[in-house]
Amino acid sequence: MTKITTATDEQWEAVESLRLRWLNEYQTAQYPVSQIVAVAKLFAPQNIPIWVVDSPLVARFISVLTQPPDDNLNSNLAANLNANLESNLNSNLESNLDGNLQYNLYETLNANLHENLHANLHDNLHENLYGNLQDNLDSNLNDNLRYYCGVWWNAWCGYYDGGEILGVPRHDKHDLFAAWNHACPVWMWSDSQIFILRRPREIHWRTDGIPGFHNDSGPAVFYSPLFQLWMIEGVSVDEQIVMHPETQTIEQIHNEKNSEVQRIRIDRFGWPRYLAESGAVVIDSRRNDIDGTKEALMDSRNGQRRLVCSCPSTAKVFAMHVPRETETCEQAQRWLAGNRDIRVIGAS
Amino acid sequence: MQVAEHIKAIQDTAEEIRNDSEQRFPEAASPGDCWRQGDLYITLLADIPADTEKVKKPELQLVPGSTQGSRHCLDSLSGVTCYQITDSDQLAGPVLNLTKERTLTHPEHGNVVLPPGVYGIHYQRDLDAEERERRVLD
Repeated sequence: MTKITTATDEQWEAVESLRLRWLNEYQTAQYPVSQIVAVAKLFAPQNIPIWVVDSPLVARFISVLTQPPDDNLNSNLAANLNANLESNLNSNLESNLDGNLQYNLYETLNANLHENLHANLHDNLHENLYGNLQDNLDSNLNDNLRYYCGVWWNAWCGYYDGGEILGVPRHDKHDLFAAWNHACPVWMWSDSQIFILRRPREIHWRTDGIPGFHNDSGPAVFYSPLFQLWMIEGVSVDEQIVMHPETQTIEQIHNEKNSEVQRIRIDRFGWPRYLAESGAVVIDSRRNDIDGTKEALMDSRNGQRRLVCSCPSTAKVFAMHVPRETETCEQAQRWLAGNRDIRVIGAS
Repeated sequence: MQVAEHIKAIQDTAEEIRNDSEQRFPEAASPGDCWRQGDLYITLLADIPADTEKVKKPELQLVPGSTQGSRHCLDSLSGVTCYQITDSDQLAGPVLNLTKERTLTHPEHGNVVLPPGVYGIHYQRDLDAEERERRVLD
C-alpha cells in the first residue's frame, strides 16, 4: 500500500469543519437511551443493569435507593470495568487506530493533521471539559460510586475521522471506538450497576480564540437542571459568581483561595464597589480637567494599585490596574497612555 | 474623604458631564496633540513616520483581531492611506494619512471627526492580575 502524500485544500477545509463539529454539534448530540445502552453493553460485564442519567446526582440517588444488602455482591465490578475500558480503549483501539493512521499517511500530513485536529481538540476537551467534569464528579459522587471520564478520547476519535477525510482506509475497530465516543464517554458505577452520563445539552466556548468555556449569563455546560458547570473565561466558578455576583460578600472574596477565581469574583462584583467596601487606601485624587472627570489612585486590600476613573461618554467607572510605583493620578494616566510624548487635549 | 466618598464623587461627576455627542479634533491642534476615544489614543503627527510601510488592504476597524475592540471604526476609507509601523509593539496601531475629513465612530464613545492630516493610533494599556502589561480592550 502506498502512503498518502498530499491533501487538497478542500480536504483540509473538511478537517477544519470536522474540528468544529467535534467541539459543538457532537458534544451536545443526544442519543436514544436504547442506543447508549447497546453501545455500553459492548464494554460492560454481562448481566449488569445499565442506567442512562443526565446528572451524577441521579446516579447517586439511584445507587443509594437500590443499594444491595450485601456490599460484597459483585465486588469485582469496578476492577472488571476498569480492565475492560482500559483494554478496549487504550491498548487495543488506540494503538491499532493510531498505527493505521501513521502507516497510511505521509509523516508530514500526519503531523499537520495532528496539529490541526487532535492537538486542538485535546486542548479544548481535555483541559476544559474533562478537567471540570472530573472535578464535579469528584464532588458529586459518594464513596460507593466510581467513574471513568473519557471525553478526551473524543480528540482521538476526531483525529481518526480526520484521517479518513485525507484518504486513510477505515480501520475495522474504528466503528466500535466511534460508537463509544459518541454514545457513552462518561461512566459511573457502583458495585452492582452502571450509569452512563448523557451528553450535555448546551456548551458555551470562549469566543476569544482561547480554549475553554465561558458564559457570563448562565451555565457554560448544561446537562440538566440538576447538573451544570459554571465557567468564566475557562475558569470554574459557582452559580452565584455567574448569576448573582452582586450578592458576594467581601469575606467570600477575601477567603477565596484560587487567585484566578478571586480575580473573577472582584471583576464581577465590580472593582469600584470592592474598593469602597474592602478597606482600600486612597493615594491621590484630582479633577481631570481634560476629561472633566474626577479620579482617585487607590491601593486595594489585595495589594494592587488602581486608578479609579470614569468615561466621559458612558459615565462608566473603571478601576485600571497600574504599576505599584505610580504615585499620582496624573502619572497613572500617562502610564495608561504608554508614557508617550503626547498631550491629551480631549476625550470621549 | 473616605474611599466610598471618592468613588461616589467620581460616579456623580461622570453622570453630570456624561456626553456621547460627536466631538471634533481641533483644526488648530499641533503635532503631539492627542484625543482619547475610550481605550484608543489618536495623535496628530507632523508627518508619516519613517519606520512605516503602507498597508495594502486597510480595514475600517482600527483594533483588528478582537471582537470587542473592533468597534472603533472609520466611517469610510475614502481619502485614507493606512501605514503600519514596521517594528511596532502591542500598543501601536496604524498611522492614518487623511486627505479628506473622516469620522472615527464607536457605538458607546462619542464619534470623533478628524480633519485632514496624519494621525498615529495607539492603544491604552493596563496590568493583568499577574502585573503583566496588556492592551486594554473596551
